[in-house]
Amino acid sequence: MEKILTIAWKELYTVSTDRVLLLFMLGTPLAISLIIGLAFGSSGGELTIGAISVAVVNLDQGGGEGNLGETVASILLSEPIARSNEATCQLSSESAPAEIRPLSSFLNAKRLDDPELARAGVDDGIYAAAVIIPADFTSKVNPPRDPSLLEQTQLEKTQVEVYGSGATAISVTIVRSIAETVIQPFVTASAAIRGTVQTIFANPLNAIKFMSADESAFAGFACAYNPNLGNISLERQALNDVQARSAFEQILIRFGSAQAVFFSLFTAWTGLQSVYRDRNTWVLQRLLSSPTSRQSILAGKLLGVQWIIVLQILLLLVFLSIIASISNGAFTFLWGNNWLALVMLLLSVSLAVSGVGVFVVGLARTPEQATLLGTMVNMGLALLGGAFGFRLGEFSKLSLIFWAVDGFESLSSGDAAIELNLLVLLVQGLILFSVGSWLFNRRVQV
Amino acid sequence: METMVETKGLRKTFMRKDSTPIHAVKAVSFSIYRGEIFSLLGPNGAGKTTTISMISGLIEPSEGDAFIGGYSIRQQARQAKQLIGVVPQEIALYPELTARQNLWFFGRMYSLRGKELKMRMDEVIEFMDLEERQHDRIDTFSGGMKRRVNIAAGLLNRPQLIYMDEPTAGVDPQNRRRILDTVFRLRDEYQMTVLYTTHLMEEAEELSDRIGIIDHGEIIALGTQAELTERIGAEDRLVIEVKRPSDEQTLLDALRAHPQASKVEYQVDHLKDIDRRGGSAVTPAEEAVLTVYCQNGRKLLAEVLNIIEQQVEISSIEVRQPDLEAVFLNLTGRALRD
Ligand SMILES: Nc1ncnc2c1ncn2[C@@H]1O[C@H](COP(=O)(O)OP(=O)(O)OP(=O)(O)O)[C@@H](O)[C@H]1O
Ligand SMILES: [Mg+2]
Repeated sequence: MEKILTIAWKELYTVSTDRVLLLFMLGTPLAISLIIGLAFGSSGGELTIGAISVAVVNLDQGGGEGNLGETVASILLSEPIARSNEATCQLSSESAPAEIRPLSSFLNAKRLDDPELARAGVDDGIYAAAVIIPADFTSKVNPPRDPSLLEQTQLEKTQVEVYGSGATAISVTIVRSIAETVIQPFVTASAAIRGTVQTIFANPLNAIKFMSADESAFAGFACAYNPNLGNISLERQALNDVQARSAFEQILIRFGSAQAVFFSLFTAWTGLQSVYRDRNTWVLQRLLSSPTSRQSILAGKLLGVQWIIVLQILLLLVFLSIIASISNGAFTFLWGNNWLALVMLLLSVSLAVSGVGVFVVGLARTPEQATLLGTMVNMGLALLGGAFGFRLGEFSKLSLIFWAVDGFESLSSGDAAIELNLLVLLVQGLILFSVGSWLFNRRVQV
Repeated sequence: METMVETKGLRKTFMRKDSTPIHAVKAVSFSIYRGEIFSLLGPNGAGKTTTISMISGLIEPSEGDAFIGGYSIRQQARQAKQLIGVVPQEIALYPELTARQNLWFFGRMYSLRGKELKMRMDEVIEFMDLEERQHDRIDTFSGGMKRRVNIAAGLLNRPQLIYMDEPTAGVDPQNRRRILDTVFRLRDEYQMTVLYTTHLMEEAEELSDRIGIIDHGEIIALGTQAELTERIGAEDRLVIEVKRPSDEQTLLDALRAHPQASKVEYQVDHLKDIDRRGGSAVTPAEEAVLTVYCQNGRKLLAEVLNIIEQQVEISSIEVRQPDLEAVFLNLTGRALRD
């Protein structure tokens, strides 16, 4: 037992020393929630923003994979995006409810061809800001298709310029946030591949490369974020307590908890994937030739990942509350006052999440397969479960994210009747966890 | 002599994807005595790591068994594993942890804790001379330093028997020297039994009390160095590089006529020739190598030189005494290197 705890502790310690990973695990979901909250949570709250006039200049000359700069520009301009995934986009826009605020209500964007003209326009006060996409945007962010080359490629930096003047500092900040929001989905999608997290944080724009790496896998994701299609929808809850909350808080609750669960799904399988590294470095062999059983090693790893997930979700829930408190200028706890129910929900969500992780790594035969499978499973669960801002009706009940978010929403509205959520999450977690452990057992062999 | 390790008909067959077998180790039986340094010497892919992996309980033998201090590695793995320390061929450490944290972690895996663990850690840190860098992360270490921590981790449980799988791979001469000295100290100061694998003849020669030569998964010879060279009846070799003679046959006949020369080999050095001209055409070489086999090379040297000098110019001379290289060559018809 002591050995199991030591192994679990080591897993936790390793994560806690990895700053880049922590930033991904905690910083990214918070940033996304915050940006979405600020951008869309203003309709009912105090944070009303008038449309900001922006000049958009796309100098991108494209590359083998098309013109990614144009995609970004189109989103900012609220123009339809020329993509191959119309079907997916149509499907999702059907479910768009009435109460949405399209991007065009924030940005009064105009397309210009000459960057100098755009900058001059800003200087003259015609535009609050100018977004200038450089000529080499696609080519710089477009990596080789072969994933093995991808590791080695030294990615070159490219810079999207957000030009503004001191007079419009706030507007410029907002424009920058929105530009980042447009780019953020690509970051999220790509960050699934843990090894490249570093690169992404060095320059988030690099992340777009993953779009082209496997367009079909991420196409749905990209269009899910296209505000023009109204996918980012945040309908109001009918419940009284929720009504009392500002739109910003509601977004933090629904979107924030969804992001927390979504990102913890990545933690689950990337954490377990470390077994492959341990085998390559012979650490696993060293462990196996000590008087430590395979079962202990397996249990230690699983327990460690379980701890990490619980902590990750817990911290995200706390941070979301802190954000709400800051925004309100007063202490605001988002998750209700039924502590027992909250703890139980947290634990069963964690079990369900790690169950998915164990299952994915157990099922895949190689670390590459695990990455691919894991990414697809996570994206699928997120797409179904509402982590991208919309839900797919009854289908969303297939996703643990739905059950988790629904549970958190209930608790935050003072409704403790989450037995069904707990049941679904626990049963799913237990099944996946046991089948997954049995499969994963084989991965701890040499 | 007391036996520390005994392997009985150890065999390991891996299956390829197309389900054709790879016979990595074929029915290997040998004993290692308590307190000796035993080397497994063999070329890459000979089966050294596979053998060690089986007798450390890491992989299940396809057949046979190994006994460590009398405990069967298959039936009494736990007891057997308490006796052994392992230094894998790879740097089996967590790169993101410090040297000390790694030692703590692996110490815990031998159920060590508290004061005892701390004492053992200090002990191996001092033994491997790691005090200065003990609080630094492994991924900041040089190759030689990593190797030393790798060894330290294998010593934590004060094993009676330590396996070292090519512990000098990728290490500079200075660090290599240090590691070899460590191996001697483990035997002499701590009375440990060492099973050492290498593909370097020099290391095996310098370190070992006894050597097992392994090739294609079989132990093809085993004994002290003297026994091995004696057993194959290896002779000294006079290796003489000459300018290519115009009349090769006369020279060879003259040499072969010498009563003490048991065998004379003649080889035209094509490779050198091609190399020098930078082309690929096989043109007649200008140099040749004569190898004369005899019982006492030094004594015969003068006479042999005399014969050759009458006919052709000599570029270099070397007397080679029988070594493990010769043993390997003799047994397999191949050079140990490459
Ligand atoms: N897990 C495995 N699956 C299939 N074949 C294997 C496996 N491990 C080893 N082999 C094969 O068994 C043979 C012996 O390998 P082994 O690693 O024991 O050699 P070695 O003597 O340690 O070589 P080196 O000096 O390169 O370390 C090789 O042909 C190798 O390819
Ligand atoms: Mg080896």
